[in-house]
Formats: sequence, C-alpha cells, structure tokens
Amino acid sequence: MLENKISPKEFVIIRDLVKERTGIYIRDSRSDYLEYRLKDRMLATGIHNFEEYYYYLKYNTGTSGEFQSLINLITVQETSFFRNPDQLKSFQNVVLKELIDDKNKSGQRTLRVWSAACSTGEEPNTLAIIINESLPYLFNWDMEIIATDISTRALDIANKGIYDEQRFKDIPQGITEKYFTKNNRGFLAKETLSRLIKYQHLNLTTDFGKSPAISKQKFDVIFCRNVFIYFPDDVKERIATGFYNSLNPGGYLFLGNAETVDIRKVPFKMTFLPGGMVYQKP
Amino acid sequence: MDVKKLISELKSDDELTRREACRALGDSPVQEAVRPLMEAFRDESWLVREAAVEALIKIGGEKGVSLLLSVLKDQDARVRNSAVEILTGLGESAISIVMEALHDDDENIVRYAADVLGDIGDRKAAGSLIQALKHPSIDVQYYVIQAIGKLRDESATPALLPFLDQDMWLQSVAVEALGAIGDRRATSKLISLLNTDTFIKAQVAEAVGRLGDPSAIPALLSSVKEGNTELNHAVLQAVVAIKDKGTIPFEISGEYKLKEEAITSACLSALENPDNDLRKAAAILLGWLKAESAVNPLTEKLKDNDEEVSGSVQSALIEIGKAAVKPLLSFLSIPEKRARLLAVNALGDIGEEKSAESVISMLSDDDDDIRRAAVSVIAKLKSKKALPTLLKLLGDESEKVRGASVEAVSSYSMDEELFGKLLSMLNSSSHLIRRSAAEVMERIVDERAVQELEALLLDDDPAVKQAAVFALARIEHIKVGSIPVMLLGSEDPVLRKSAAIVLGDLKDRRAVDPLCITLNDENMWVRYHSALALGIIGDNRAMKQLVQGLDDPVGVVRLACVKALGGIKDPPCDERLLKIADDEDEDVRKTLVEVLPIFPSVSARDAVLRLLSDTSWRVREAAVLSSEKISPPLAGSLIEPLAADSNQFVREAAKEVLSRI
Amino acid sequence: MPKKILSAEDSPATQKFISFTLKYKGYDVVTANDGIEALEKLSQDKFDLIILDIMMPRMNGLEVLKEIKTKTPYRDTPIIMLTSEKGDSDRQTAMKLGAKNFLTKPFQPPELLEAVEKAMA
Repeated sequence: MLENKISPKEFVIIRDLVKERTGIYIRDSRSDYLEYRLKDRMLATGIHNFEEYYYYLKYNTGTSGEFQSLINLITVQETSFFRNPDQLKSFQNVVLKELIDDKNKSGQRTLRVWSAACSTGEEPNTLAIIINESLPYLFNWDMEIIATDISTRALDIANKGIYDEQRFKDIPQGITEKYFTKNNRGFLAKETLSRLIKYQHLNLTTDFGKSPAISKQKFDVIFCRNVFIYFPDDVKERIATGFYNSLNPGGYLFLGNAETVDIRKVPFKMTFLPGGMVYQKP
Repeated sequence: MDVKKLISELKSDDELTRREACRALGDSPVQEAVRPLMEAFRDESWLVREAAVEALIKIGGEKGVSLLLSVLKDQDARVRNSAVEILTGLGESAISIVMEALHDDDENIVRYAADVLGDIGDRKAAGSLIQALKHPSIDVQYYVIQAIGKLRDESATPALLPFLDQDMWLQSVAVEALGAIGDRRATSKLISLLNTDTFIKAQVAEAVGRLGDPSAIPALLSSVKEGNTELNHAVLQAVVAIKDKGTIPFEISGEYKLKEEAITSACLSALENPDNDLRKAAAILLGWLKAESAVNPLTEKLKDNDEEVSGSVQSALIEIGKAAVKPLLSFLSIPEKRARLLAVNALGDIGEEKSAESVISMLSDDDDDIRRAAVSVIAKLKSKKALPTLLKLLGDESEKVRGASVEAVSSYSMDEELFGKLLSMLNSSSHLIRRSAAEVMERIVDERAVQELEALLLDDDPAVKQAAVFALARIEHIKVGSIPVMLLGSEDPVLRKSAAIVLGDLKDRRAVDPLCITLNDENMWVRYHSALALGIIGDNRAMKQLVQGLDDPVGVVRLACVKALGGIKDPPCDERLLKIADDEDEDVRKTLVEVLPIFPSVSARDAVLRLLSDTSWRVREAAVLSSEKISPPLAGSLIEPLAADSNQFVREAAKEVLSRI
Repeated sequence: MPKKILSAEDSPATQKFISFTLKYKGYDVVTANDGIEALEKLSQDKFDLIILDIMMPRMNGLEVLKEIKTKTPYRDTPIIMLTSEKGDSDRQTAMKLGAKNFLTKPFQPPELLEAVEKAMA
C-alpha cells in the first residue's frame, strides 16, 4: 500500500491543484519529491486511496486544512542568516544608505521593508540586524519589516525565534552575541530584533489584495529571494507586477541570484550594484 | 479614439507617452498610422521601438509588408531589426510575399527574408528555402540553412547533407539544422563526421543525440577522448538523450569494452561539472554501464545540491547493486540528512539482507524522517532481528513513524509469538500503541483478536475507537452490526465518519435510515461518506435524500450523491442527475460522466456525448471512457477528434478506445 | 584561472560555434540570447571579455554596448562586436561608443581565436 507509486495522471492532478492555488509549479522531474510528501500526508491522515486524498486536499481549505499541511511540506527551504552576503552588502552600503539620506533630508523618517518569502525567519532577522547597525538613532524612525510566507509551519518556527547553532556559522561573532541569547534549545532572537518584525501568512498568488499589512501600505524595499524559480513565467509576471505596485517610487526589489523579472512586461529599471543586479521602480 | 492626437504623441519627450501612443494606435488599427509608426522604428528608446513593432503587427496588410521588405536594406541596425520582427509577427499573411523576396538581387534582402521565414516557422516556405540553398553567397547559404532548420521539415534533410562536406562555417549551421529537424536519415553522415578531426565534434555529438537513433551509441561512446572534456560531456548527454527516447538493446562488448574505462572516467569527471544536466547524465550512464569501479565517487554525489542529480545517482547505485552496498552503508552515519535518506532507501531497494544490521541503529535516530525511512527499509529487508524495535515504534511520538511501523509489522509473516505480542499490545497503557496495534489487526484480519477489539470500542481515545471499528469491520464479525450505527450518533465527527464508512463496507441494510439522517450532518465528510455508503448498500429507499443531496453546497458531497445514485440504479434517477452536467465543479461533472453509462436512457447517453467537449480535461477523459460503454459505433466518430486533444491523457484515452472499437 | 567570456548572439548555430571553439581552447564561456539576457548575465558573474552581436532582437548590440560603457563596471573590459557587413554605419556608431574590436561574419575558428587573443592582450 505504501509502496504504490503515483501515476502520471495523479501527479498532474495534484500539480495542477497546487499551481492553481499557490502559483508554484512542480516540474515533471520532481515527481518523486511530490510523491514522497504525498505519502507522508496520506499516512498522517489515514487516507490510503489517492482519489479520496485528492478530494480531502481540494475541499479542506483554510490555514488549518489539509492543503496547507501539504504546502508546508512542499515549501521547505534551505535558508541561513546573511545569505548571499555580497548582495546584502550592496543593500546596506548603497540602497539603505541612499534611502536613509533621502528620508533624513525630507524629514519623513519612515522605512518599510517586506521580506516576501521569509521561511523560518532568517532573512527578516538578517535585515533587521543590518538596519539596526546602519541606523544608530533607530528610535527616531518608524521602521517595520513585514515578513510573509505561504507555509504556516515555517511561520510558527519564525515566530518562536529560536535557531540552531549551525545556522550562525557565517555570521561575525559579535553580531550573534549582540542580537541573540543562548538557551538550551539554541539561540533566541532578542526583543530588539523581534519587535522590528511582523510575521504574516501570505499566498503571493491569491492574497495580494487581501492582506491589510500589504495592501494598505507601500514599501521602500522588497526582498523575494529564491522562490521565483518555482513559478512559471505568467505567475512571476503577476507577482512582480504586484511588487511593483507595492513599492514607493524609487523603491527596490531584490531577487535571488539567478532570478530575473522581464522588464518588458513589468517596467522596473535594472540597476547594477557591486553585489549583483537590483530592480528599481522609477 | 483620436488618431491625430496619438500620432502627435509619438513625438512627445517622454518615452512612456510615446510608448503608450504606439500601443493605442495598434489597438485600433488605422492605415494612416502606418508611416508614423514606421518612423517610430528609429526611436532611441527600445521600449518605444518594441511597442511600434507590436502595433504594426496588429495593423499588418500587404502594402505594409512590401514597405517592410524595402526597409530591410536600411543602414540602421535598429530599423532592420524592427522590420524583421514585424514581418515575423505577421506570420502566415506575410509568407508568400517574403518568399518572393528570396529571389531578390540584393543579398541582404534574401538573407533577412530567410531569417523571417525561419522565425515564422511555417513549412509552406520549405520548398522555396531549399531552392535558395543554391545561392552563390556563403552568407546567404548560412542563413537559409539556419532557417530550414527552424522549419523542422524532414523533406529538407537530403538537401542539407552535402553541406556537411563544406567548410566549418556552413558545416556548423548544417549540423545544427539537422539536429533540429531530427530526421534519422542524417545519422550515418553525422557519425562519420564524428570520426574526423573536426573542430565541432561536440556540436555534432549533440545533434546526434537529438536525432535519437540508438545505432549511433557505439560511435558516440567510442569518440570519447581523454582530456577533451567538452566533447566527452556532449557525448554523455547525447547518449542519455537517446537512451531516454526508448529501450535500447545494447551491450557494451567487443571493441567498445576497451573504451569502458575511458567512458567511466569521462563520466566521473563529468560528475564534478557545475552543469546539473551533465552530472545527471553522467550518473544515469554509470548506472546503465553498471560501473562497479565508480561506486565510491558516485556515492559521494548523493550529497549533490540538485535533487534530480542526487536522485539519478541513487537510481544508478541501485542498478549497480551489491557492489554499492559498502559505500552506501558508510553513508548511513553522515550528517547530511537528505543524502542519508537516499542512501538508506537505496539499500532497501538493493535488498541485501546483511545491510539490515546497520540500518537498525537508524531506528532510534532523533529525526523522524530518518526513523520512518529506516522502518520501511527494514521491512523490505525482512530483518527478523529488528522486529522488537519495530514493535516499540508502534508507539513512536511521530505519526509518520507509527504509520510506517504499522505497515512494516503487518508485512511480517504472522507466527504465534508475534500475534501474541500484538494481542497484548491492544491492552497497552499507551493510547498510541493501542491504536497502532488495532491498525495492524485491521491489516492481518485474524478473528482471534475480536474480543480485545470489541473492548476497544469503549476506549477513551477516539482514534483508538476508530481503529477498532475498522478492524472489526474487516474481520466482519456479526456483533459489529449495531455498534457502528450507534456511533453514527456520536458527538465526534471523526467517529461519525468512520461509522459511515464501515456501514458501507458491511452493506448493512439496517443502516439506510440512520445514514439518510447523517446525509444532513453539519460536517461535510460525514455527509460525503454517508452518501457513498448508501450507494454501496444500494437500497432505493435512499433515493429521495440523495437527490436532495445533489444541491449540497459542497462539491465533494454532491459528487458522492451522484455516485450513490449510480449505485441505486433506479431509472427515475437519471432525469434528476442530468442537470449536474452543468455543475460548476469539474470533479462533480466527472463523476456524473462515470455514472451515466449505467442508465440506458437516451438523454443519459446524449449527456455523456455532450461532455466530450467539456472545458475540463478530466471530464473529457472520463467521457471518452464512458462513451465506449454506451454505444461504440456512434461514439467512435465523436471520439476521433479527441485523439488530437490538447491534453495528453485525453489523447491517450481516445486512442485506446478507438483501437478497441 | 581560465578567462571568462560572455557571448551574446541570437543565432543558436553561431552561438554554439563560438562557444565550442572557445571552450576547446580552454576559455570559460557563458552565453546570452539577447541584449537583456546579456546584461543580466553580466550582473551575475565577472567576465574578462564580452562578444556582442550587433543584430539582436529588441535590445541590440549597440544599445548593450552603450549600457555597458555607461552604467556597468565593465567600462574597460575588452569587447568584440560581431558585424555582418563591412563598412557599415553600425560599425561607425560602435566605434563612437568606444568599441575597438570587430569581427565580420562569416568567420573561421582561427579568426575568432585571433580576435579574442588580440582583444585581451
């Protein structure tokens, strides 16, 4: 029973359901990956028949439903603090500096950053650290990082703020001590960090207009690293357009290393920085 | 729409305004806009130029095409570029005029005309292009060959083959074109090219791979050359590409055996290449060659970052078999989780019993994914020694481990001792163990467990109760009868649901009335399973309620009612079912299509045939299969067009049915 | 460390020809199919030489050249422009933008290699 393989048709049915609801497209070559996770969920729910499990997925919606449980399994990400350090240096030394200078001049000391695929929280924490280091008078500023992800499981972990020692191997020593306290389960983010970040569940394909934290404000910087590779072009374009509309004029979008936006379709400007390319809203 | 205003906006200072003006002019195509838009070709902003191109494509027209052809001579690269794009965009409507241009005196026009025809891709142009191969200019020949390649028309193959004897510039484009066309007639000439000392060997290998002819494999493998990584990599990928296209009865023997070492070493070096596809191809090939000498470096690659690569490595190791066991065993204790899982699962598939010893220690790993994998593998290896630990894992804190253990334990041959242990586990103080033990009993179906299972019907824990209900139902013990009906009234929806399932399995007629009540349960899954059960029992007392269920707000319940009505088979049913053909939910419509063949009425048959053109492929596919049951001769002509349906599963079903009619 | 070359060319056959020839000689080659992809690739890695075809769809070689010379860190990197006719206005424009090396199609491998070596000298 456990060892039955899913058929190509069954794979396509699930794949289409996932794509329709989340934009994520699971390539043919990843059918083993999906199958393993489907089996996990079928074991957990006690449903052995594929058709019945499919109905259970389709009709059990909501963040505590079965579909969310499957999504949580499919979207497990490798992530770490200070990932892609060159890009983060460009963020700190060029983008952030420019934003701070401009806002100081205009007197509008508000900074909004969106970490749009925050997974278990390493990225928003990293950004919070960088911003904290760059703005000594942070208390004078209205600064908030909105961190969203489609996985409720990842968000649970992010909200707890406790991380394994392994994840800190690339960070300079002083930083870890300054922002985290060590306890018997690992390192806990201090309040100075966690109060800067607000976590929220968000499905980039369906929730853009619905989430107040996103739709009722505009951002200065958006980070969306290493999820675009899972989306087909039409979905990428839609999400990129959503990002474009969510940015202030002059705002920046950072994607992952080999990820791109078709600027013929979404009118960002490509800007070259030492750590790589970034997109800017004109 | 004010055309004059838009035309003046084409001269605005702001590039976005100019671009918008172009777009607007394209949306309402007017002839007067053609000239100004063509001037917009020279705009300094490529955003504007692109919008002008798209607008001109929308406007089109014969005059436009001729104008564009003359523009192909323009000094300015930007302008030429844009003209080519427009002509390509005009597609079929421009083809005949562009084909004429192949006879032009001006070499540039001929060249660009060929480009356009290639990009349009319509095979109507094949004949003219093949004629144009005779043009004296190498430059023109080059672009004509390239265009022919894009058309993918096999009739061009003979005309292209002679170019393989030309100088490298033309040779290269001819190789590329032949690869794109994919006609196997080119295989032998390409292979002979492979045996010369040409600069473009790797390109030739790649083209041979695209042709897919298995007879090329020996030649490809023997062209592997020490030190020539570019070539070797192209050869590997070509061989794998051919292999992927179908089964190949091929043995490495004779003169190619001498090359086996060179091939293996080429694969090993390819395993270190940054290109994912190449590493994957190397792994596949090593598995195919059953290269025992490569097991150590190959096993290392289980750590590869790319999942497809590590997956292919795993398959290769499984194919190599026993020789891979030792390195795989050493991987059971590395820190990298993903690689560990791949290694242990590979050992399970290789199936060497001695591996079990080392896998047993993984049963107590901290990580539940590891424990779960180890459980499945231990069961595959049928290790008796591990049985006590497996039994303990029936009470593991992790659901997936428990589930896997239930499956594993059930797969062992049930001797007295084991059965006795399981029986006593039904009385365990741990609810997790009681539940798992009951689940095992459900699978092994042994009457001797009945008494203990009955006692569990009064257990505190709902999951244990449910497992007992299912186990008893499988054993089909008569006493079970009244208890599930009682459970239909339970406060817990999970129990109500399980009770419904069991009553269906038992085909208990006494349950019909109670189930008709639970058809209105507040929980959708209780309603769903109640409907299904009524359908299995098949008593038409349920008909009225089931018909009402066709209006349930939740799709999955409607679907179950449809299915159930099919189980009741009462002729009046089908009229009420027919409106379901317009249900908004594709799964509901699909279920209807599956059920309708049971009803002999004309309207049922017509509904099935109508749904052959449903918007959802799942419905169409089901309709194809149902049509066969209704009236094969009539269905045949309606199914035929579906053999060319856009969806592969519909096509497959159609072809299968047509072959039987 | 082998020299890394970016080759931007929209014709797949020419692209392969260039790529295989240069790789045979030990260069590391990255390819782009049009101007925009070329700029994207330039931002993701470090190159010692850039080969640009003038005739490419949408953003053509001349515009990429301009972009490179004015907005990227590749101002001083040697660039070879590929042209298909001799004595063109395109060539003039390219020279005005600062291009020094040209190669006319069709060319044979030795010509390509010579141009590459000369440009990087």
